[in-house]
Amino acid sequence: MPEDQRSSTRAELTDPHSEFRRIVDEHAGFLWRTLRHLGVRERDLEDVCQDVFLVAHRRLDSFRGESSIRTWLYGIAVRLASEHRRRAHVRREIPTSEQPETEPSHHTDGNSILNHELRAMFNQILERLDDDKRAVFVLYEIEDLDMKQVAEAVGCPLQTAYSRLHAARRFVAEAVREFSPELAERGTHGA
Amino acid sequence: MAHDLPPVRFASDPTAPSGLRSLVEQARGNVPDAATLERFVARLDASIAANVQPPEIDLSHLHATTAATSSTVSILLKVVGTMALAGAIAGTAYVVRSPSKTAPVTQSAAATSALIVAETATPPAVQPSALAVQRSAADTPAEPSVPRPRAAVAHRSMVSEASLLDSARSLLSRDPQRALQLTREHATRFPRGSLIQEREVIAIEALRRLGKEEAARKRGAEFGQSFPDSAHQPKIDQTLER
Repeated sequence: MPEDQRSSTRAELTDPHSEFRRIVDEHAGFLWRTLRHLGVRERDLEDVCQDVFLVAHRRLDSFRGESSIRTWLYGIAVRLASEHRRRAHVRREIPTSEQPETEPSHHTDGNSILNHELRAMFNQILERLDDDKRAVFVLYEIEDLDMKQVAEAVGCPLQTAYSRLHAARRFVAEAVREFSPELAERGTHGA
Repeated sequence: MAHDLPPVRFASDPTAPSGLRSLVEQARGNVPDAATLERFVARLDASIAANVQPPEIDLSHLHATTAATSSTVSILLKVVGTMALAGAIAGTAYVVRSPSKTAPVTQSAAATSALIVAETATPPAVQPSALAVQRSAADTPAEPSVPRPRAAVAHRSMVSEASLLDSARSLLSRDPQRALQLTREHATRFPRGSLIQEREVIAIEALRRLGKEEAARKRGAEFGQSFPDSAHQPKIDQTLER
């Protein structure tokens, strides 16, 4: 490659405004959040999130562009989170819900003890869902995917995704009442 | 059992217990901060440049429909190529430093491989083009492993952009008016931003939710003229067809 062309290519690739930067910035934070709610331990979040993008890199040939990049990446995240939890279970390690979150600085909205406790409680509730229902619940309720995208990401028929969602919603609503009847009724925002 | 309509999400369901809504809202705000994302991207660049192998997983469930756009594929191709080469340019020095967490019980394949790369003189099989750039970089005087100041500032700006739009997006369902305001704020703060297309997608969705059909369609048409090959066009079409 001629030197001038190489320089041009290098300049383009290192440009923080390139498509690369745009897409990674667009999705990395959401995938990180998703992995957290799918039960990946706090200290492993960065590694697993890295794996999501490394898998995307490796499996590019299998991405036929038939779903959105977003749905495809979420699908990879769901599978990697499941693998992560399975390995953790085999090693009989401590599940996410029993571990304190040791890196509160990762949260954008401060270190509020109340928020921290709410998150811990929510994670404990999610931990009691099976992986299938948990993934559907997280992708629909937190990540705002529509149900078709959810079904694609988890790899199940649409009707199955709906069934899992309804079951998960019932479970979560009941669990909130069980964990904190007061919270379930009056909320935390001064309502 | 009929499931023709998806349920109203807890976060925007006024009939749901307010505490439950609060929990979901808290969860939605639980994203990494800008500094964490910046470190993450730098490490990802280096890992791909070093040809770190991801874990083997079955993705057969991720078959997709025929709504594919070639522009979407080309964007992803560009992402991958860029990541490999940009990381190579950055060099492997960052890989040596990156796994800074204290003695994790497990390391992912990415972290493990990165350490192996750092501790061995011979890198693993790297794609020829990336390797060429990597060697070229190695021949030049040592550069700091941190991003250049200008690039770092630009990247921080982009993360800030992303955070603003993330906030707007998270408000779409329960407060589309506020979401629209945030897109205006984005236009003011980042007139030459890198996420203009994303902003327009959110703004169109907000207008649609506010019942401003004509304004939404007009903005959608302007989007199509400004970004004729955008990968976001199907999403906009879907929004306007609802």
